[in-house]
Amino acid sequence: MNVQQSFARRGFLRGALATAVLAPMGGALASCASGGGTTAGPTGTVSDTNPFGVPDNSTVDAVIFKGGYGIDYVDFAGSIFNKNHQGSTAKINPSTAISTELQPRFAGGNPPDLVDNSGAQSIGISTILDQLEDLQPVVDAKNLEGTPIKDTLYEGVLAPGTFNGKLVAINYVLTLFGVWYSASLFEANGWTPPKTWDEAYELGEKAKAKGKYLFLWGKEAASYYLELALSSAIKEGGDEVRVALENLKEDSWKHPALTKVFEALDKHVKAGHFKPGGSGTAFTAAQAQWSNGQEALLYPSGSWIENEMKDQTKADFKMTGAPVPTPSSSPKMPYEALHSGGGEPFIVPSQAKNKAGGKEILRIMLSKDAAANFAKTKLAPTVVKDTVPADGFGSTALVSQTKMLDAAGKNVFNWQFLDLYGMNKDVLVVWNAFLDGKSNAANLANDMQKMSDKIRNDSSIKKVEIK
Amino acid sequence: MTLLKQKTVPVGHIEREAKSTPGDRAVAATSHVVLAIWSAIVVLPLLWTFMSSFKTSNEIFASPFALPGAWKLDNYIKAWSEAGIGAAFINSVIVVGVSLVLVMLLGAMCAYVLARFTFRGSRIIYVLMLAGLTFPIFLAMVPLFGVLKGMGLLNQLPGLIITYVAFALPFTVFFLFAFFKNLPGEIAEAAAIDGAGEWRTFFQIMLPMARPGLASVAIFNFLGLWNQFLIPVTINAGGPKVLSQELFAFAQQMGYAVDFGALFAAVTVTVIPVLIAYILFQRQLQGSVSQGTSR
Amino acid sequence: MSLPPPTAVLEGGRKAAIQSRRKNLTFDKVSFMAVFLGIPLAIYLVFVIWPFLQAFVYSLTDWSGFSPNYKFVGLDNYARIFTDDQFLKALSNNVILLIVVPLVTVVLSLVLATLVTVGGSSKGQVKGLRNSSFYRVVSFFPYTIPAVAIGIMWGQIYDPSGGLLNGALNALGLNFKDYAWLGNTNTAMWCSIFVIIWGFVGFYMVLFIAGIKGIPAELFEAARIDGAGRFRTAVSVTIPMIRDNIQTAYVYLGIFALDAFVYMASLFPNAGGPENSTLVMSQQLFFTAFQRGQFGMATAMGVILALATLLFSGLVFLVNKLTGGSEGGRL
Repeated sequence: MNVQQSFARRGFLRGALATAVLAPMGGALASCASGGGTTAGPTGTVSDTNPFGVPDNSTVDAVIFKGGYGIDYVDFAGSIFNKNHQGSTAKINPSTAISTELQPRFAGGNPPDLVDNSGAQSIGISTILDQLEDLQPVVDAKNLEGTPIKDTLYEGVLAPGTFNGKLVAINYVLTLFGVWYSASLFEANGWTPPKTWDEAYELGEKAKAKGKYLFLWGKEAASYYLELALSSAIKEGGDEVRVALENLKEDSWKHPALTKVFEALDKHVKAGHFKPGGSGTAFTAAQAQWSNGQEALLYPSGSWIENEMKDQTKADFKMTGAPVPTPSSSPKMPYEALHSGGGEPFIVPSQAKNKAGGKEILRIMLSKDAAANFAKTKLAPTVVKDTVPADGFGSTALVSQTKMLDAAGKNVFNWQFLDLYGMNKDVLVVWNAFLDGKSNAANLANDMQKMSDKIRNDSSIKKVEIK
Repeated sequence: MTLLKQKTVPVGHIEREAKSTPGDRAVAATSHVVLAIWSAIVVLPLLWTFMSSFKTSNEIFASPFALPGAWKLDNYIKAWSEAGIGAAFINSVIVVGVSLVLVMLLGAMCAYVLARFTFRGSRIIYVLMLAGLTFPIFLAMVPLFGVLKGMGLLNQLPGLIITYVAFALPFTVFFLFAFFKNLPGEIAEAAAIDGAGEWRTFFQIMLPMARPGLASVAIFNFLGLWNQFLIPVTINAGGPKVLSQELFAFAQQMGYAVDFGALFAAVTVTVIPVLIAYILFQRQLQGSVSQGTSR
Repeated sequence: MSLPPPTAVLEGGRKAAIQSRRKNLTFDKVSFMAVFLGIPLAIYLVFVIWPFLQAFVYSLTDWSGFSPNYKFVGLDNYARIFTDDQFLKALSNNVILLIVVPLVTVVLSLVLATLVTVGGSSKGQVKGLRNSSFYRVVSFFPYTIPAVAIGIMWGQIYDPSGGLLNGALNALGLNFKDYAWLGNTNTAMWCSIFVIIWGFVGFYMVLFIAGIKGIPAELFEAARIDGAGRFRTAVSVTIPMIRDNIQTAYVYLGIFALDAFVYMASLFPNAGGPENSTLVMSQQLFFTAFQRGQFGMATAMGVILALATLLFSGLVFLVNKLTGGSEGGRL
């Protein structure tokens, strides 16, 4: 007890006396005393089958967020790792509270070798940017089949994990955003997914005649409509809309494209096309009202929606995705353009003991077997191409995703500022009020602008320039 | 002082069978109505949760109030097998059991001294205890992690136990302080005159007298520790898991998988042992009005 | 007052006892004090106070919470907090909680505890209500449920379309279809307060029952003989005798109301309720620490929170002292 106490005290005194940058107290001290911070660690021989030089008889410590996708897909890669590297073992640990669990380990210089930084309690990526390993070597490396990984990936999937030009996170799951609907219901009524907001309004009126709503939402997921609006406006006004927003520019929320979209949404709200009460409904319950109760026609979401609602979807629902509508019929980007992001961002901390092992597991995950296994068991595509057969394992949603991606080609975009600056909490407040009819298009733009301005003017928040 | 003498004679004993007046009956009836309404407000949501734990998610979303189609245990089997409850349950019993005994003993000792002796610095200690209740725990987790790591107690049950004891201490002292302060001083005085030392006075006289208070604080502590999540998830992430870690992780995952039936089953599994413990312990709080002083 | 002044009698006795004990410092007494205070305090200082003190140092830095580096920024964090309109909004919400939650909870649990313990016959020995243990046991149930589960459960009950509340109101012929109790600024806070009170009343009811049972029966007998009615007995015997328990409850509820994190976070996941009407300081603190990566700033908020709580406790002790509480407050 005395030894550590004096350690801790020394740390405290140093902390109290020093004025410049220094090592933190408590947890950090143990690592400082024993190694001084730089953890190169032992490395093995680099070869084609071992591109990162995983040392023999080493252990890889991976902490994986255990949410909707579980952790068995990483276990799958872990068992391949164990087979390929005799004597080494991959320890795959689940966590549901990434930030609370890992904070002391990051602060203490003892982070795991691989982290899936997801979930409601993920670590804000901007806080740890400079503590993360550059993952470019992973995508440059050859997969287990011998093809360079970067040649096997979908377009634009590395962008969400690239900050200041450095690839710090590889999003493993391909997520594309759109509006989702029941193909069987649309077919039965002769409806088609709207391509413009005018068409959407007409569809809303038709739904009303049938006693249904066009949209519904849940309180934790009001932000899905911000996603819808941003996608629509970026397609309408081109990439300049996105770049201005990403860099928190003045009046970036007042761009004409955004104004048109906000006004279109406002018109829907005022026309009663939204099922009332969403601001007091759990998003899971709201989604079930769409997928099971068919109370609304369209739901804007990411492609995780099928897996998320698989037990609460009406039989023969035939869930299908479509690109989001735009204000005009001649937007700057084609209608088929998509917001394609990523889910399950995997990171390798620079301070980790076995960085090579962490990267190696990522390499295995990005190879054919593991990626195909994921697509098959989770009914969701990974960022690796050609893992989903034509029948989509019998999933209409998965088939439509492949179609949407093919149609979009290079026209995919993504934005980072909302996550980067942790804006979700404030977004929810503003959007719940708007969808509830308590605000209007102009107020919405003002509120969002205020949010951006506040971050831009706060010198204590580190800004990341995004191209 | 005359009060003390009466204590040995249970005054009202003979009158126990006294007839109730109409006024009494009206008051009793009103009391029953008020208490029954409150009980209904309490029980209905709980029954609803219990009922929901047997339903499939589909049934829950279709109609939250319909009875389950079949009283199947699927959700429980899922919670039991996926959440690894067996081993975690035993760990929790060990950790919470040992911590509870320690914190009740240490807390009672500390509260007793603070409540019944005046000495220099006693107020500072009391305020220090109070201060421990006011600061958000998760801000202290990083330094605490360091302290435990330094002692080699990280990710180990003894480390968890001593942390539980330390964090439950201010609460315990704070509540027992009030109980010890309210105990009549005459009995301790009488004991001192009889030649009992401080140690004997505490263990043989004061501690038994504070029994109702000890029992209620013990129940509260048990609950607080049983459901404690933040501490084990930070300092015991790599150690043998306790129940709350497994169950909260499971519940959270079921939230992501939108499996509400299993979520409610997990909640029920967490609550049931606690309810049983409470029902067993709550007898300690019963007894006649005068029990507090007649041990 | 024809009743025996209970506190005075007991106080006198106690003070005399303490006086007489102070005089002789025997080995018995010294060893007793050393062990009884020393062990708990040592554990407490090492595992609670020391980490908190280290955390306090973070409040003077720009530490992100994850990196090994930080700079000292003096009191900057504190200055900035009070220009953060969201924190101020959260503070005012906490003040509402602070005023309402302890008051309603204490009064309600005191009433219920009194009904259970002295609701029986007015003749002869003071008796509890017949079969009252059922109520006591049942009332305590909510406290056994993890707050997260309570939040999920009540979220469902308040659900606009399928919830128990709107279902019941509609059955009564009131048109509350699709009314979002947790989605409207004028109801969200009160609905949350109800949930908190629902979760806590059983706890304090049991605590007060234990306190009332610790009151010597003779005091009730004496009041009876003097012809005091039930209400009078409750006001002039029960309340003064469990005064310290009430004070403790009030302070603890106040501490809780200034925190309220788990309840609010599970009722309004990831946000502060409609127009931030239920945002509390601890939530703002959590977002600042983990989503914005401003751990130093968050710790400063924690220090403010702790100071506010201590201030509130001091106020409660002061009020208790001014209204004639036993031995006054301890602060």
